[in-house]
Amino acid sequence: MRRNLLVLAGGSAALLGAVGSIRPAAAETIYVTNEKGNTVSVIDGQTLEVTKTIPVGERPRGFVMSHDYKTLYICASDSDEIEAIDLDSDKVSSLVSISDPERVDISPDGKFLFASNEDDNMVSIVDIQGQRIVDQIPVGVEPEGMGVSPDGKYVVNTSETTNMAHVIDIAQKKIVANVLVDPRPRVAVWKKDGAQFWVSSEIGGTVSVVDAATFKVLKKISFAVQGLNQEAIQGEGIAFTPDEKTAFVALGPANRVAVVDAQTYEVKDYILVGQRVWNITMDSSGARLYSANGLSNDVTVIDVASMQPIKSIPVGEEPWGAAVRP
Amino acid sequence: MWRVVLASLILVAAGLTAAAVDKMRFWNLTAETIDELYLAPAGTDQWGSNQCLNDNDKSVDADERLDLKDVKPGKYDVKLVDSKGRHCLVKDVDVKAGGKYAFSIAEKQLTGCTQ
Repeated sequence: MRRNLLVLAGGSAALLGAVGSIRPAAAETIYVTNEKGNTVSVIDGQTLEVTKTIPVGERPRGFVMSHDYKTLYICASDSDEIEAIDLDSDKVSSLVSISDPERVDISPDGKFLFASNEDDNMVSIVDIQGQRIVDQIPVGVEPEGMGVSPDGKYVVNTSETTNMAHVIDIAQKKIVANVLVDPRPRVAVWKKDGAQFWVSSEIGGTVSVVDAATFKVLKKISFAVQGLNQEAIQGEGIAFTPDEKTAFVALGPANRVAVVDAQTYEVKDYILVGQRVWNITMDSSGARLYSANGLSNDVTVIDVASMQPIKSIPVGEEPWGAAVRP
Repeated sequence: MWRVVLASLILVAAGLTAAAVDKMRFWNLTAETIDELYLAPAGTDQWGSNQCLNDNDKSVDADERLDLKDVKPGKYDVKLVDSKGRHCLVKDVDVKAGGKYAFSIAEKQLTGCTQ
């Protein structure tokens, strides 16, 4: 196993700037939702500095980028709306009023959003053009994770308290399978070929790999970090490299991102990042991974080639996740 | 006509009351799961019941919210026990009505803890 060369005091990634050379990146822009700050921090992908801060609704959490990369849809949970940020003008507008949205995903044709309504135990389908909710599907208690299958046939929703991944047939608008996973499932991410979706579990501290043909759990991936008790190791965000040979899993208060061989499911490494790493995002080239660290109020930039953190960027209060615009 | 107006007013008032009650929530912004949470009017020892018992799993995880019961707006001292076994006291916390959450406690506020 590769060993991290960095030793970071108190789990903070504040010293990362001193390490190695920072590889030049494409002219990408990173948008970070800050759930306590009620803002979105905008980071220049070349300088890795915050260039502006966009005020948004209250408690911005989940988000999804439009397929043309012109609009970022964000869940302003405490404002009870999904907002749209025009990424050319940074203008924020309300797309739709909706109860306590937490996470959102978009259909392959770009016409619909699928949002979890945490307080109402619902998944809502939003017509983007019409700016209205067109359907709601009852799910388990405290719905969170949302993942639309690549073919647009299914959307998977995780419910934190029911401990299930609910597979919703979008055409039928009903649940066709309930997959029991470890406690407090957070995130559902599909692989590009639609053969599997991966579900992280916060309290369980695992990732369940689910076969999308049978809706059975194929494998449970566990994590162990020397010196940390298991309670501190929690499954949160998941991201794949573009070739999907490697997966990354954010481990919450373990302050680490796990590196997983996505074919053998072997955990290859743990990368030290900021405090309570929450959601992680891979850029489109697969060169960098960005982690939002909720307690240290920063974003860690990981160089994927070297599997090393290369910079810690201070952002707003309680960063939740990062979206990348190429 | 006045009956319709009165009924409407009652419904609106009931809705507002329900909304206000719904919004009395605690937001856990500490690093740990909180297993016990008590409130007392600031400067007193009149501790209320363990609010964590209101939750389905009797605890409130980091970044989660907890419905508060029998708590009115005001200034409170808050006592908590978390999953690390820390016993913490946070004084003079403003508990407000009308928002999405009544109060939050962040990790940096946990300066008065014993283990």
